[in-house]
Amino acid sequence: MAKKPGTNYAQVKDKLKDFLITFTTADDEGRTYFKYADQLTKLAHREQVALYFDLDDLAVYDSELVEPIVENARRYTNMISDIVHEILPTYKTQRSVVKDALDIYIEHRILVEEQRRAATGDRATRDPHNQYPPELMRRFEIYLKNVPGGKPVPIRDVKAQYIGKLVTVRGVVTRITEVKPLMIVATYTCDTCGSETYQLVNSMSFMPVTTCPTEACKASKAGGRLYLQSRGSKFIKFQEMKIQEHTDQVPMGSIPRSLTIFCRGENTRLCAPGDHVEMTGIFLPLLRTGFKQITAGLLSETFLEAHRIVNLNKQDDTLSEGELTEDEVKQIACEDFYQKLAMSLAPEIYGHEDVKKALLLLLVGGVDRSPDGMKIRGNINICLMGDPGVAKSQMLSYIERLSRRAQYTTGRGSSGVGLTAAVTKDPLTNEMVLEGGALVLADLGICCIDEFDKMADYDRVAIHEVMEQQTVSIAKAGIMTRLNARVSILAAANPAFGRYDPKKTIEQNIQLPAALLSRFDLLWLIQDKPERENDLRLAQHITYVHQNSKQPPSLVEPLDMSLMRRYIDLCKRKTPAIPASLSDTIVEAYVKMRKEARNTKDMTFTSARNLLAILRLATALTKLRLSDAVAPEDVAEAMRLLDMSKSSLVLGQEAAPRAQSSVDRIFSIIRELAGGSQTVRLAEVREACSTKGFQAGQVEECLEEYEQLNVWQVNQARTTLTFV
Amino acid sequence: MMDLTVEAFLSDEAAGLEKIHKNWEDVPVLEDVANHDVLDGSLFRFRGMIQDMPNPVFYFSEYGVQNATGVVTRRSGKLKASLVCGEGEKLLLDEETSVSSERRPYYCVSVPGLNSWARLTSKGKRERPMTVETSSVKRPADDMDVDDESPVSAGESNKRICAAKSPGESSGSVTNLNCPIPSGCDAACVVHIYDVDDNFKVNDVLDVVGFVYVSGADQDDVDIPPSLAPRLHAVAVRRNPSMTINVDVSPSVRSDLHLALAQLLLGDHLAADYLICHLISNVYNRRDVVLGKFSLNLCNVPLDPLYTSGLYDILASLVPRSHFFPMSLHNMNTTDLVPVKDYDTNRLKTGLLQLSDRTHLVIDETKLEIGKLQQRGVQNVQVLNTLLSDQTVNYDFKFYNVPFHMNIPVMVLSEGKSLLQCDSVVRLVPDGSFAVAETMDAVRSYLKEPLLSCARRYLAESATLDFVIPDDLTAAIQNDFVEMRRIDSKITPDEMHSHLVLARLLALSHGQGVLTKDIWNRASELERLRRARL
Repeated sequence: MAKKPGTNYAQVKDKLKDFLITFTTADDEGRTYFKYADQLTKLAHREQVALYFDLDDLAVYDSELVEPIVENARRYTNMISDIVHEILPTYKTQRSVVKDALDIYIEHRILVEEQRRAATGDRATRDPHNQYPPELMRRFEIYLKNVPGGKPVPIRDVKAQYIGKLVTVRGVVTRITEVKPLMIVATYTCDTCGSETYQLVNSMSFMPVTTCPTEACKASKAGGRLYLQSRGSKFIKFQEMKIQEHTDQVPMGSIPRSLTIFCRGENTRLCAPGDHVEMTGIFLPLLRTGFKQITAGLLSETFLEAHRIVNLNKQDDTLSEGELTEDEVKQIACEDFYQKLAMSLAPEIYGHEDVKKALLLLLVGGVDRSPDGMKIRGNINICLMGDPGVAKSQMLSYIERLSRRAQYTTGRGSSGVGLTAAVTKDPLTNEMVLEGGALVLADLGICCIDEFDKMADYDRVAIHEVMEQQTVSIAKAGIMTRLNARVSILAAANPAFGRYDPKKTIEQNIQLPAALLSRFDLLWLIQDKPERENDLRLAQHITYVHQNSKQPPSLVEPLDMSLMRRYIDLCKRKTPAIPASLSDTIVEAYVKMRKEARNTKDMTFTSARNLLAILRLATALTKLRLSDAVAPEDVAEAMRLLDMSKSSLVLGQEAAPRAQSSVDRIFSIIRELAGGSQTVRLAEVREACSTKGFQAGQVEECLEEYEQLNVWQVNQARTTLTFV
Repeated sequence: MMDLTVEAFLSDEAAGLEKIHKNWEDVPVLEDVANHDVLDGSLFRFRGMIQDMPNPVFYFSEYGVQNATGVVTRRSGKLKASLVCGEGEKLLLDEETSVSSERRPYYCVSVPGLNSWARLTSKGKRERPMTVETSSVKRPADDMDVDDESPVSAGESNKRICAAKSPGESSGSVTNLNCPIPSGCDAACVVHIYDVDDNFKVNDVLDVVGFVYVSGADQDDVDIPPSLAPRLHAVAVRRNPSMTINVDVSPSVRSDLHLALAQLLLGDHLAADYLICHLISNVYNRRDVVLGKFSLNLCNVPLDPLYTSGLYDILASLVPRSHFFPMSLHNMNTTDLVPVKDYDTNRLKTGLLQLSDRTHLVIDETKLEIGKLQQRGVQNVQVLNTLLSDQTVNYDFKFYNVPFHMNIPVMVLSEGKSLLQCDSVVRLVPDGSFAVAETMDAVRSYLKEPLLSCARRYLAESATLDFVIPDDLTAAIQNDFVEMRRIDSKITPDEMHSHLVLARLLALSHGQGVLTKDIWNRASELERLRRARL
């Protein structure tokens, strides 16, 4: 190592020693304790193996020491090991329990050493070859913990200048080997003189020593041969793995880079392939010796010696991107932030503002409640329906990308597991394994289901349970269990007959049972309706895109995805309550809604579930405002969204041919009465029409109109009607 | 011939580079030279597509060598395959004497789908003619005996490794090279690039000149030995080079080509217009939306198998890179369209859709029969549809997918409307009766030099022209759109996009960089006629 002028290692060593012994910090209850001294005691008693040396603590003690350690991590790790080794015996207060063969060995050696020293009274006479290497005696491991806030370096940027330094990287584990023992110290015994020889192994391979190097053997020319003693050698757990950078760090058009990681001791078995990890380690060149060095030529392979591995899968994802900064809060907080957030959803999709608002609320979600053991879900379920090619799938995939936990699947499901869960047999062990489907995997997130109408029957039954109880029950192959599936469902469905037929009910259009449809809080019909005003805007939009090769500037600049994500995280933490004063308004509104539903021919179902939907939407809105109490405006907006979603279904109806007039309807009644016969008695007609609520005048009007059209004839006495 | 050594080059890089750029065409092409004729450290040119990017490697850009008398000399490792360390010398690789630097290997393969006329050949000077055996049997392992003059001490051991591997490799060497479209005479090359700021992308075509090593030590993570994939240490790189001969484009070329294509399309002039537009389509923007793609579905194509393949052959003689994919059930169920990362070998296993920009893909849907699509087949249909809609292919990295932007014009030949969603569907209306074989012969004899070179140049040039829509036309375009939607409510925004793309391509095909009222009206007329046929 290059010695920097002015670095006085002896001085630094003293400082570090002092730090280890004297550093104190406050625990959760505010009591100060010796953070490292306490751990040293544990190390001495073999109750703890790894000592994490937190650079953050060192920064408190002496901030100037941190940088050199980060820059030259390997050397300082060894230094800290030496210090700990030196001071450890002073922390030993009781005789430790012998745990394994190596302990006995060590104990024995120490005894021999003491006896020998007592016999000669001088320690220097011992042959340096036969001295115990300190590594053999150490039963602890020292790991550095990087300063928090030290941003992870993208794997792509870990370059030559990082060699020897402590770096923190993030990635996906792609390959991992079995844990194998790695020899640290090889111990040999001589078959002639019986003395022990030790060899320190620093690299991945070593050349065994064969001839005894002791003075005795050399002098006698006995040519003592050495034999490796595996029980006396020291091995350490070793695992090699590869991590690959995350997608967001891969520039467009590049292949993700990977990095080799060596894990030792306590750092092994911490992750599995596919895990997202954050690693701190020392970036080092791989030493090769002998012939290999020449063949390896100009190359030096590198690896990261792991010091700290954090499995991000097991952690709250939100930690990864940090809190919102003040600037960002300002960016969001403005008059029309609700609008702005909604417009930032899938900005590439033109229009559909209310749908986007609804999707925003779905991302935030309402509040789960469980009064008296009853569970009321807070998650909002939305179903988007519409003609093919109206960007339903694009919206789904955008939500999937935006949400932290989301699964995108089609109704058919891509694997045999389907949507819910399946029991499979492990081919290796023949054990039954429960494998979660998309709904289970999306627990606490969003499950986007495209082609909802094409769902398999088996899944359709299970989804009822998911949508209200938020669980999946399995009773298969002797396994009976209930898995959590606390998901919001965002479904997209195509009409059964290619295009949405407004004359039919939703059930007929989507071919899904009412029981399932009523579980959706909002049902949107997205239609692509030709209309001059809309068409012009669309035409302007498209021409602009082609003319300027970019999206036209909208009134609101769409927010960054990461910003949205963090804001939504913030919103999710709120649990607003509905003030008692509002309950009357809500109840009133609901009653009004039911009344309207009775009076008009309703295409949807107005039920108690709608009331819950309003509550959910309103609380989601409150969360979005980061408020703790639902305001009347929230309820009003929730009602508006519900109305809009209903009218989107009714609007479809308006596009249908003109509404039937009373004359037409009476005509159809008469046709029905006639059935197959040619004549109908007028008395019957009048009776049938009056029961349907038509007045006599209307009936006469109809009779006259169709008589003029020569559809039928009425006899003079006006008693019977004959079709022509 | 270029006789530039690494030492000579390093001593004066500027002069060396100038010399190389001046004599670019004269640098021998690596593929033309048999492996045993390649002297380590000699200068060659290679043209290929980046198929994979192995991890960057650290090399000693400077290291010390101590000779027997204890004198330390410093040497540079740049552009070298191995350390230079003579008899009695001692390597010093510690921190004081050595400097580590980074260089990036790019695994390149012959440009997939390259048509034979666009293939690169050395300029005359080599007496040894290109024999069939050197190009078809790819670098047999026997070639290895001849590298005795190689200065590398490890050559001996390396040879043994290769010899041991050869039986397995001779049978599967094509797949091992990871060529997206194996053509029988593929070459692979690992291009090492020093001090790059410019980030090359996967699927970029590179034209590189550099020092080649066919023997010697590991120089990167690539598991293919240098004997099969020579290591080229680049000194000069040209990205996405032009592949057509530079000839003057005569003004009548469009009408000549139109005539030929109309004949090819059985006298259908409307389809010929669409085909020209398709051939010059090029994704020119993808900041927010993908603009410029114009995939074409020719339906009502005669079911004669000679017709689709004949049509493709003519197109292949016009565009530098193309591929014909018969969309049979078997092909759909067995072909790997998407590249997959293989973590066992740490390489990207290629797929058919790993193609460089502007590689024309012709899908023959008339080959599709009734039957069951397996899971792979369904995925492949999805992949093709994503390609058609977004010009994106999601490469499979097991733990996640990485989207790669493509620029592949796709044409689908089908009987009815294709099951793939193309930007434009043109129903072919043959003009009277026809005989497939005669038609093809007629077109072939018509498309001859100099028209052929001219047409190639014309198609390549037109695609990259700049284009503007003047402000005074926007109102007219918008009104036309609104009117169209009023008459036919089924016209989707996507169709409006392709309508504008068609107008652009039509203008470009006439050599115009500005949209005029006239061109717009003609595009609208084409669209009207096309719709009327559906």
